[in-house]
Amino acid sequence: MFWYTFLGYFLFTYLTYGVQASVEGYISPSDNKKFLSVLIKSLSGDNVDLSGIYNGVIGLKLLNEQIGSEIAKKNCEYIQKSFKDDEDPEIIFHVFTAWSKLGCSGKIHKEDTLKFLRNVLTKEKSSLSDLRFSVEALKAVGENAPNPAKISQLLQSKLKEDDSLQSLGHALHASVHLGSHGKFALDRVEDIVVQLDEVNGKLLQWEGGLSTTSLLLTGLLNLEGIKPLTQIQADKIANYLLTRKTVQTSKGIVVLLEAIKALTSSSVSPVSIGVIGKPSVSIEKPELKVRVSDLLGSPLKPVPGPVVAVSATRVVDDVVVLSKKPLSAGSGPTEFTLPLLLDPDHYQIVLSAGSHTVNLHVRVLGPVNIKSFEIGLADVDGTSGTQLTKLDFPNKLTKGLQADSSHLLISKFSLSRSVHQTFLRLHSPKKEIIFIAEVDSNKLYKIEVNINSEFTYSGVFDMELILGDPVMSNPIKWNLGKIDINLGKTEPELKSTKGPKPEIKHLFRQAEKRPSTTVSLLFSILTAAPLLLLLILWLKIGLNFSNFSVISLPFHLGFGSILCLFLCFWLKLDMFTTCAWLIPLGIFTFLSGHKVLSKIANSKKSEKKD
Amino acid sequence: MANIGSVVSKFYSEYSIKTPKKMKIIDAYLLYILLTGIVQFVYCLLVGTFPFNSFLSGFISTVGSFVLAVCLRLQVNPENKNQFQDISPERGYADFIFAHVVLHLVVMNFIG
Amino acid sequence: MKFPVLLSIFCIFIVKSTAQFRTLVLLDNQVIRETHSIFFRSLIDRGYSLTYKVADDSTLVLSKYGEALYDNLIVFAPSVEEFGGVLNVDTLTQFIDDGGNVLIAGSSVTGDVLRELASECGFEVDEEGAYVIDHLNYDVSDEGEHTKLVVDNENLIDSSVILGQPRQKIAPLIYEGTGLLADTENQLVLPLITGHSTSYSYIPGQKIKEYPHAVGKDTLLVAGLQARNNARVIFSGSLSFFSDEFFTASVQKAANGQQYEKSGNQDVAIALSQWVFKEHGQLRVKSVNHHKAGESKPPSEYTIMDNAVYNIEVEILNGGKWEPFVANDIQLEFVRIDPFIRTILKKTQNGSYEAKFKIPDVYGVYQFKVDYDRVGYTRLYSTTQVSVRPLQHTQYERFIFSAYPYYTGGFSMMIGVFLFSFVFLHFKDEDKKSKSD
Repeated sequence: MFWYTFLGYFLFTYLTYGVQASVEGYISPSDNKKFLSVLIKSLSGDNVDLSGIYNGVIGLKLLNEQIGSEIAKKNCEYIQKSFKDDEDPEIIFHVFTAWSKLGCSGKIHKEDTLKFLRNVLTKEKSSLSDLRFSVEALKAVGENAPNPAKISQLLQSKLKEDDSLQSLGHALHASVHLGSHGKFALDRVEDIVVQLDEVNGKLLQWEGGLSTTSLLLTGLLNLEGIKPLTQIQADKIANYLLTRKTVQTSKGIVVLLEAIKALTSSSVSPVSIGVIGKPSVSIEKPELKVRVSDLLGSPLKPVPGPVVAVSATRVVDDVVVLSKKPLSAGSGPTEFTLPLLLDPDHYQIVLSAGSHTVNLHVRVLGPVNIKSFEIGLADVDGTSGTQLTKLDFPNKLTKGLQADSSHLLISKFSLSRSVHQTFLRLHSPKKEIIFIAEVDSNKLYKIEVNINSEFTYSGVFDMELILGDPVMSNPIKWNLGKIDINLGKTEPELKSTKGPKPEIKHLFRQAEKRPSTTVSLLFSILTAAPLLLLLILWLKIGLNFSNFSVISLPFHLGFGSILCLFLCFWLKLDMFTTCAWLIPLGIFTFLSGHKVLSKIANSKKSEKKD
Repeated sequence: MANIGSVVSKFYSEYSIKTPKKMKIIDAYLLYILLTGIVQFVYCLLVGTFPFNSFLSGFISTVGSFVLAVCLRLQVNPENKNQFQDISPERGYADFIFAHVVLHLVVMNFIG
Repeated sequence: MKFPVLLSIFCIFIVKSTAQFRTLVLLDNQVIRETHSIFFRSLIDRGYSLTYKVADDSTLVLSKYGEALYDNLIVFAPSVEEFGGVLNVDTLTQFIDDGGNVLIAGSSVTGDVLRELASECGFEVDEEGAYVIDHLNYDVSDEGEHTKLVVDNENLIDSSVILGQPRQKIAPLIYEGTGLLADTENQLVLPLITGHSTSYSYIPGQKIKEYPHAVGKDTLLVAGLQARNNARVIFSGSLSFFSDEFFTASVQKAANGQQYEKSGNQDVAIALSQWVFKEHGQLRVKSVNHHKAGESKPPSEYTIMDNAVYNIEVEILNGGKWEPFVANDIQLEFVRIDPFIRTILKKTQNGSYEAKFKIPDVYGVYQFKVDYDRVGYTRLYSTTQVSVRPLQHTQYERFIFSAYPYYTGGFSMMIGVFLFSFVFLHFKDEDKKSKSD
């Protein structure tokens, strides 16, 4: 039991202390340039304010940049104008610090302000950040904090109420200026460190993002006499800070640089081992340049140890191709070179600088040559032989291939090295189809396309061979020529569903053809003609009106008027009016007709009697 | 051929002698209606049935008038007196007029 | 008394006008909030209220008591295995069905729940660990696997509504992530950013044994969907596409390309966010009017062969305000079951369109239908039902010339019967006796 724990502990320490994976990134000159442009804006842009000036000044100092005298003067004037004994200790601190760093002439602080600050440091109501900034503001103008014991007591009581990370951070910063009374902060260190959050196994940060992390980190590393963080923790916090290099605000840049500076000046300064430029070399230039420096890119003090490539292993089959090769010094104190005279492939290289080690994935790039290439058509049923044409890169087929449903498109080629992407692309303006090549045991690549099963419509396609690989320094896109595929059916036009649809005009039903007016007129006359004939016939037969009597007149009148009514009905009346008129006319006609007919009947009867 | 010719001329001479004049008047009237109807029918065949309602009403007008006139002739013909004992020729005439009023109302409505 | 009332009305107004900006942002971890700060800041500057939560937070809700709490959802949590709270694939698709807009970013380690959500929307995400690889179009800052790609602007969808500007003006983009595939038959899917013909989606380092998930131009890098209820979804295979790092990076193809100071990522990402959250390309009908030619109010019914006039006003949302929408391909359909008439509406004034046509000679119940569906715009659909009756019997032609013979016939009959009545009544027949003589 005891042995196992001892063994476990030994292995654990060996693994964690013997193989110390360190940080790969660092704050590069290009990062510094980006920071500089943002910081300068906060000193001379449109939206200058007091805190912005503070951030700009501190940031530039951290970047070891000079502040031009013109800008300094302008900012001094601005501060002079805008600083109105603000009640906020943070602003006061910013102003005092900026004033002294800018080297402005004269004094900005008045006795009243100092009195106010001292007052803040005695009040129960003052918040932790107020207390901290008051202490620091006084320090900035060379004054010591009055009554450190009282301040310490205030801080501790405030922490009892609220021990969030922000509060702890401010308390840490304040405690440094309180001499022996600041020792209470040491008790809080473990509590703070435990609250680190790990992300993805690689980063450590405190909740609240960059500003909180920076606040706590600088606060912890300011404390004397203790080592609050282990190297691994420092490395992981460094990894987190490096992900925040893209911060856009001047405040963000300042807190980031302060945190990094604090780390690099501490005893747990992370060692950054990384590749200069890209992690790849080519056959022509096989030197791999490695940088061993601190987070800011400066050489490490003390020098960590000889930089050695412990091993280089080929990724694909784990074969060790290099071991224990020391790197030679490069063109600067942080640069080292390692010539990699290896075949193009992926390699895992373990570098060590003293007790710090890093695993690098490096590629050796090299060109790939097409040793042989043929393309052509074959019959599906294998009747006539395959007709393949040899092609040299970058020539095209002189004559396009003519294929139909009975053909196979075949291509065979061999390369100097195996390659990840071996595609054959057939494309026309409307579509593209891509086929992948298969490789057999003899490293011969073959593409076989059954025209009938892969294509449905005829078309003319351009053929292209695409070769690519992560370690291929010359990716190839080779236009091979044309192929005309004839399958009988052409592709129908794809109607886009999003777009105006065809217009539809309604075809009105044609009116039936009518006869010409002359024909109608002629027939109207013909229709009327028999009336004339009737009159003629009647006259021929001989008419007499012997039975005529005046009494029959009303009847004829009535009947005639009914027929005239019908004419009016046709011309303009409606049925209701017509029927209304018909009733009186009809009754009249009926009565008069009855009279006439009875008279006639009676006269006939009397005649008979005679 | 000669038979048909002699039948027709016999028929024609019998008709002109035997038929009372009143009947002949009606017959002339019937012929007139017939011709009018034929003309309209031929016109329709030639140019099509475009205003079909007009054609129908015009044609029905002739057909109806023809039928009513035939009925009147039957009723008024003295040779048919035995068949129409309850209906006097005057009554027939009155019916004839009444039916015509109805017919022409309908025709005028339908002719468009 | 007046002041509180006014204040409350003012508050309701404020709430209503910012109603479409409530956005829930789901993250893998809080670091993403800082590494993608430029993108989030651009949203906040446009008035969105963002609520940041970690994706497996157990208190996540999208709606309360039936009312949606958020209008939009951003999921920047590629590796999430299971959402927290009440969120899952079903509630998220319900959110989209209710009209919510979603922006999702995946990566090479896209979790299964996002993969499921993507397939609900019509996209297939490649398997875990796969990247889009392009050996001919990778950036100089690529680590070596050729997965950090430079995407030219010709691979963007050709729609200025979605991109905010013509695509030729956009600088090349940097992309590093997984590949998507969408069914080409699916008409609702929009291929916003595709890969080059030489790109393919595969696990780097693994030999290609089977056909890659996505190859060539079919590889979708960023895919969009406008659902039938006009809710919009964008799925990006790369979370880093939206990162500050990519926004501020310079672009240069390793194979001797031109160097661009700044990638087009920021422009495209902001334009896409404007499109997906319906700031751009949202249409609505302002008013519809129809009437007979010469009148001004719609009749209770039309008669066949009437001259009808149809008028519609369309507006588009621009910068938070509705402005008249100008287009020259809006069509009007006059439909019973199939369209009888389809005609292009002509512009009269800004945003107002008119069509004049003759109503067909077939009667029935018709609809004036305007169905405007174009890439990048919401679907504009307006239908007004009207009835079309046949001619009244008094509306037919009278006194037709070709019917004159029939008129003549009818009148001739009337005249004939009148004459006959006169003649017949007064005709005295000869005696039989005299005849028999």
